[in-house]
Amino acid sequence: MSSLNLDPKNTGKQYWKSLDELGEAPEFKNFLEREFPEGASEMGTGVSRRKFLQVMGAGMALAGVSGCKIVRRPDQNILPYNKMPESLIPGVPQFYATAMSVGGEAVGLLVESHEGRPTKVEGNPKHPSSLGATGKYHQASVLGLYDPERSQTPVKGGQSSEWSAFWSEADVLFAGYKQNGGQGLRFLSGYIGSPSLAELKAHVLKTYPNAKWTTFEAVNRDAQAQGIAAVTGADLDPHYKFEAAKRVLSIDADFTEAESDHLKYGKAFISTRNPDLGPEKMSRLYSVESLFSPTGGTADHRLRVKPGQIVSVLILVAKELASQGLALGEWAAEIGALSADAAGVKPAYIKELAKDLLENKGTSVVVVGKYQPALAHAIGHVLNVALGSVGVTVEYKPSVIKALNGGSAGAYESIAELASAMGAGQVETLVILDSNPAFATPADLDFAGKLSKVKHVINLGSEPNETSSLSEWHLPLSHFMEEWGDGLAYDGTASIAQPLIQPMYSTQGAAELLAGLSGFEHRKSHDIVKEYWRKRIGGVDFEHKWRESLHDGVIAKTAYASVNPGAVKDGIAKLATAYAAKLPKAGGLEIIFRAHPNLYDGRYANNSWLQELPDPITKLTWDNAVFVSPSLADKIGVSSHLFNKDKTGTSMGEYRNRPMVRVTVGGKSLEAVAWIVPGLSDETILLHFGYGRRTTGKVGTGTGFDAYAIMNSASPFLAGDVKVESTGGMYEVACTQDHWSLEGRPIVREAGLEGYEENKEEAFSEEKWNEHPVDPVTGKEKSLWTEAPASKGGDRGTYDFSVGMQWGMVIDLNNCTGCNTCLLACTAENNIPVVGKEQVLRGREMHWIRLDRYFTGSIDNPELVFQPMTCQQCENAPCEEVCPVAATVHSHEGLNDMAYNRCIGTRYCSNNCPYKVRRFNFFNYTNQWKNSPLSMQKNPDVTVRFRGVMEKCTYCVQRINRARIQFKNKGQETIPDGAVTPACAQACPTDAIVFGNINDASSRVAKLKSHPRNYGVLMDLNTKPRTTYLGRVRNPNKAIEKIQA
Amino acid sequence: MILHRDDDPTRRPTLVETGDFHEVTDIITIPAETKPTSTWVILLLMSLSLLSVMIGMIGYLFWEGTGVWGVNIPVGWGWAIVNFVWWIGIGHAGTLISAILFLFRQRWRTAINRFSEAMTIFAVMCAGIFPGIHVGRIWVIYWVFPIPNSMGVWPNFRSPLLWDVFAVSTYFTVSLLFWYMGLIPDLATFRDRATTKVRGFVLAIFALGWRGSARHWQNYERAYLILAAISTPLVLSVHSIVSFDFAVSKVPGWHTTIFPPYFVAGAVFSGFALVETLLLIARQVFGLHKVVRMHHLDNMNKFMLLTGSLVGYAYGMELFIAWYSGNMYERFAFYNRALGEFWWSYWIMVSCNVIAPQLFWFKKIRFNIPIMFIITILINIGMWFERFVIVITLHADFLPSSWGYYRPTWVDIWTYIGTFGLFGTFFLLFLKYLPQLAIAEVKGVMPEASPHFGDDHHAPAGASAKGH
Amino acid sequence: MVFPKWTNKIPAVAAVSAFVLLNVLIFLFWYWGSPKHLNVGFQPEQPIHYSHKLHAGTMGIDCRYCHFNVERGQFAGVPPTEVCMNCHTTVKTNSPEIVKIREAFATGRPIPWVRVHKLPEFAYFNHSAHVNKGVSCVSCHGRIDQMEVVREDQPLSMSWCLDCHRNPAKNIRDRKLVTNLAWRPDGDPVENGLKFMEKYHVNTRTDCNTCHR
Repeated sequence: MSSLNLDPKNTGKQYWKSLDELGEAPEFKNFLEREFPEGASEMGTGVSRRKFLQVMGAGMALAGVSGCKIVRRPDQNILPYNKMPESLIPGVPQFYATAMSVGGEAVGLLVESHEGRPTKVEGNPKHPSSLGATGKYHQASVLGLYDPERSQTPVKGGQSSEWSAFWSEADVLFAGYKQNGGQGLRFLSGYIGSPSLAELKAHVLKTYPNAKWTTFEAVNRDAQAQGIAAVTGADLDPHYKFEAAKRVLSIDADFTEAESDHLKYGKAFISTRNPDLGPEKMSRLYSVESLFSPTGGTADHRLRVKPGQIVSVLILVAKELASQGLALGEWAAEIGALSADAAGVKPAYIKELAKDLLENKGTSVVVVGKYQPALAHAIGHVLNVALGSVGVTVEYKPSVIKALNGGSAGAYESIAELASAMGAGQVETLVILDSNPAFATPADLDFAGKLSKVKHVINLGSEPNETSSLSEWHLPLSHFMEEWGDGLAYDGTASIAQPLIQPMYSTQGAAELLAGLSGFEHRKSHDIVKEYWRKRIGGVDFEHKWRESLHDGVIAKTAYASVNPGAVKDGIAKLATAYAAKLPKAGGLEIIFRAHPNLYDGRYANNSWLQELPDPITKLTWDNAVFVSPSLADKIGVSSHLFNKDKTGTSMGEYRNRPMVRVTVGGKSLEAVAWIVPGLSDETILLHFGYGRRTTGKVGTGTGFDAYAIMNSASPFLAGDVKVESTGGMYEVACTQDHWSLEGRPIVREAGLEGYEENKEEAFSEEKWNEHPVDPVTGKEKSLWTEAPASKGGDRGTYDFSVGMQWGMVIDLNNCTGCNTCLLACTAENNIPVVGKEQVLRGREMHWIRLDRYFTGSIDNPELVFQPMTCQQCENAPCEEVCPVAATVHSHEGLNDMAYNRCIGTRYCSNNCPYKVRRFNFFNYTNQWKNSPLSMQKNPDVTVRFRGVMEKCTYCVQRINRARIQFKNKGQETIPDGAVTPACAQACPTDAIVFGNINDASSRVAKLKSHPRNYGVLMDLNTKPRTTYLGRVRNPNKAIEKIQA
Repeated sequence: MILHRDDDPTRRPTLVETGDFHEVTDIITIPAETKPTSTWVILLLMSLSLLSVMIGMIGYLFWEGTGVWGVNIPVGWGWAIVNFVWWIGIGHAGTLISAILFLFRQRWRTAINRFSEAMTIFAVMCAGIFPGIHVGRIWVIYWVFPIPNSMGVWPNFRSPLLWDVFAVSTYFTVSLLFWYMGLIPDLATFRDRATTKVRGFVLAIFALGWRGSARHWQNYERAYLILAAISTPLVLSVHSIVSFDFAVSKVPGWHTTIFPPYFVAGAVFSGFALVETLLLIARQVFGLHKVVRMHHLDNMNKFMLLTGSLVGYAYGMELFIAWYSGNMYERFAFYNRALGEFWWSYWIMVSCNVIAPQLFWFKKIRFNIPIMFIITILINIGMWFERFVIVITLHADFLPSSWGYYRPTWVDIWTYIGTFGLFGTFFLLFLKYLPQLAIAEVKGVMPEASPHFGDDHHAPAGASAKGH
Repeated sequence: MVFPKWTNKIPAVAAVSAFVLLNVLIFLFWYWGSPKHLNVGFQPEQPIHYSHKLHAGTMGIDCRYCHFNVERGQFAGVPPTEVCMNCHTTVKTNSPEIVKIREAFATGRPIPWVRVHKLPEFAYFNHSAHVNKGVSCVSCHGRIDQMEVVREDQPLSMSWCLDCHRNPAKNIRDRKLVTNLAWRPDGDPVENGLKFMEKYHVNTRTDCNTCHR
């Protein structure tokens, strides 16, 4: 060793210094040594931001003056690269295409990487299921990568172990199975979405002919598959083409949120919601549902019926259509024979609905939700055929799930079969690939209990969970950003998922494990995937194709071709009998089970972003609840605890005490907290499964209530014979928006299409909605004082907003479906901390975007509107006047700048903000990232805020500045339209948010600003917000409105 | 208000019920020269323990962050600001009584001015704590002062909070000077009566070499008059500026022009109430019945009746304007105050501030010590709730989606209670070691002070034997 | 008579001196407490005795040879070890300092250079934005080409940044000359600067978000 300090430990030490002693976990340390032997300084500047205000706090008193007058500052080392990657420019992020599969369907992503750290996920415009948009799970996935509680090493019986140890045991074990062909060997996995993995699966089953493979997903599309198969005789998936649909009948289908390909559907559907298309072209959505889904919120007519009646309504519509002269072809007789009971639904309503569909024959479509029984899907298909929608508004393609997973039995049948086999002691070894059956299966199977009867349980998973704790071996699974993989989009388009980062811990992918188990030599995921695709698309120029696919994120020409569905007679009759058997008897209370909108089937329970993300409808965080309608709440005597005085929301004062209820279904009962959801059908209980995890990380444990405990594998999503009573107990629920009503304020502005057509200029104007006086001469709002004269003026002078680039935003309320993706995108982009349930209870959530949800109309059957509310960047900003230290002031370009490092935290700005969109660091929330891999997710271009500092939306000013510098360096003074997109706008699946330069008349935003639907919130305060909204226009059916009135 | 002409002794009300100058001097100086009574010691210990609680709470606050309080979004200001405004209000009676009544030649003030001046100082000290500690980053609070710095950034002079800083500090300085000014002659008296060297020496320093010569008196009177003139406008300005914290904002329920006068009235109201509360206690404990007479208390009660009615009028006017404005946000804000989630605080405020003082219309009550004592307590409670009601208006402003709720934490509560420790400690020390009443002034209003005292054609025979 | 007569002056004197003292304190705080006095001249010892004087000065290697990201990136970048090796595989291979570098290169462990110019982490400075507008290295880093060991030459304080952002002319020059630390305009630097400000569309901003995000 020379005088240069190259001793590893020591370098390590200084190295950590530059990283803020980041990551004490030895595992994590080694990883860093492997992954980032260089680039530390760049990381340092990113990560050590946390310290900044402490430094500021210390003020001038740095260290203390030494002999010479300069202060000896604590050394910070710069560790240059040794060999620098060619493409990399420190400080300039890079983007790589990859793909993420949820429930066997891949969505293409572009992942932003800072010096080798994946920090932010964006959608891949080239990918058919993304089209540039992302969903919640994609945005949150980057946090999962850095989850400090991830499984890091193989674990045997609770003791952390080595892969070598596992393999030495496994080799012996599986050598045995080689002999007996895999007698007593079972595999369990979720939907496989990866072709290469599917091939491996086939190989495994070839190697062990007696072994069996069970596929189970708590959330699945079995009903759809069965239904379609029954009437077409093929495994087909419907692919709706909403862009062509003028009338949509949604049968409990949340197709903008929860259905397959919802990102694409959302975009397509919203493209038909623009009122300027006129009555001829603008689509109309009828939604029939029991719960209140975001899609239901966008509907023009939402029919609220009991769960057991939904199919009946569909049948009635079918019959009505037939009676109005629509030929139902082969199935006419079968449908005619069906009985339907939809007590409480006005026949006239059905009549008009059918009429409307029929009048738009060929451009109407019936969409059936995945939780609906096979019968509904079959009828839906029949109607689409009869209405001539096939090929126009819906087309059929081979099912990806079936193609890769095969099997005809439904998920719940299969898992039941496996459970009974385990119970009978026929299973000696169970290999579980990335699923958690000990938790995510209905209680009646007692899967956890039966696991103990299995000799060897080998569980590959990303986190310690209920299953791993019952397994002999728990093997750590690589995150999709850590390993090579591939996946198929809903329409069959294949993508290569390339890793962004070396595995942080000693983890492996499912493919790597299977390869090993199936007696191959151990291969790396890269080889497995590449070999597979060499076989598939091979050819001389494979290397070229391969690189092209990696770059684009999709493999060209792999989408399935659409096929003409066949017609099978009396498919419906069979389904009808099956359905009738399971249908709860009418009249009683009914309960429906759904996957939680944020936690899915429970797999994301340890993701704090998703935990703190408010439920789109109820705005609950950190918990699920027993959702009841207002009338049911009255009936079971819990409403008094929940309603506020005048029933315009849930009581704010008593937020600490929410009533507990006991729900009893088929003998099993669950105690959970009750919550009122306006618009939920009476006599109905909605309970989300996925919460109530027993074994998971610190984040997820002890949150919510386990719905699986009262689910039944025979009829998992709907059950009758329910009892619910108040237990008298109380429970704390953290809700971010207690109030439902708009209090008649002109905040969200709506109009019917007709009214809008009559007088576009009037419909959303200030005069109509406000008492705010308008000067008859200038046509401008009257102001009490003459505006400060615009000047090029000083640092804090008023600026001339008519020159240069002036940023503005328009949010189209017609497009927003309240999906919350913008919140997560913002969280990831702007280093927004999670504060935890206790703080949310105190009203201190930090999300820069508040996705406001209002109910309008009657409390029992209201309509729903969403309004993303974030800093409005007022030109007359009330916050700026009152800050005593000028920490928030205006910029030349009309931004309301927030200088965190100047803020002293008087909270006066927040008080004076009419929109209440400022967030305050009441504690040092960012401490959670200290010495944690979480800090690696942070965006180095955004300051991490210390306690006592106010923060808020900045229009992603870091992106604006990056673009500015980029273009200025090219000698371009103005940034072209579309070159800057805030995180929220970029993630939005429905393009609800448009951002740009309002001084550039040709920019999208400027055009929208001059649109008659454009209005500003609280304009009468003369705040002159830069963010404005496009009023909401519904397209109701006059006839039906009459009936309802 | 009756103005007494000083020249005619017959028409001068007997403000002091004692024999002669010497007795007055004794009444006031002896408590300071004798050993502290056990009651006093116990009270002091209690105050000190409360004070230490306050210090502990503030320490905890600095260590953990503002989150230990109940504040949140939307209610960014909680008890801290409520207490600040309340204490500042309390601090008003002092200057008002000393300065304004002095300028109006209200000689009856002599019994209470020293008290209320002292009270002012300590109340402002208590108040001053809160704006300081309620910021998120206490260690950079010096940024609110216009100090040249290497960042090249100055404070924002448009911000009412900045005006506060100047208004309150000015008020404190002037009040302190005013109080000290008045103390000088009495300190000299103490000094001259000092028996021990040390006591004499210390008092001598603070007495600034007062000799009571005619020239001293002349300068003193002039200076006192000037200071009174300076601090009179302050009485109005300080609380007006404090009210700007709310009035200048956009929050419905805050954004009203009535705030300045209504805050000042309220301040005087609560100030008088606390002065009387304390005065009644001291009167009992130190037996000051002879100098603090029913006549004084009566005047104070009348004052409270007046200011209380002013405040009541303001409440009514607020409601009327809210309705009259036709502004839906204003209307809701006031509807919500009276009938919303915090209805109870509003009605506590009304009953304590508007209804209670009306009892003072009755002479019987104005002269009934227990009842007036209770009423003064009620008024202080009511005035605290007035500020609470105002601050809490934040919980439901423009967008219903942002509405929230506020509840204090134990830290909020104990910090507030702790401030009484601070106040009590200083006040007790003052009672014990400084002249509780202005000796010189009290003597000034005694019959003996009249140049014609004892002239035969006025006084009964033999009266001339006394005095001189 | 407890005190002698002269003590009568004390109160007045005390009052005045207190006032003066306060202002003096503020002045000291502002003047001696500023980075101008705390930071300028910071000159830590580096793990390897690398001489800018020799390389940049005597041998006249252009700054951008080693700091090759300065025109493209936020960071000028401390050169990767391989850059040193470009020459030092052949030049002075056995000088003790070079041996250290070779060792570092071989082991792949980075050289722990000590940071000299450090802005607070909440201040975002972008080298490319400045260099491309004709701001010379010398404006912020001084005559590096004359430094045996690098020292901090400028305060790098906020007001210092603002000074230039408010009137940048004297620091703007021909883009070709930014790395020529010795160069001085013949005429008036402001005049020369204005010329190139015109040419490069230099319009400096003093918005908060220019540096703080």
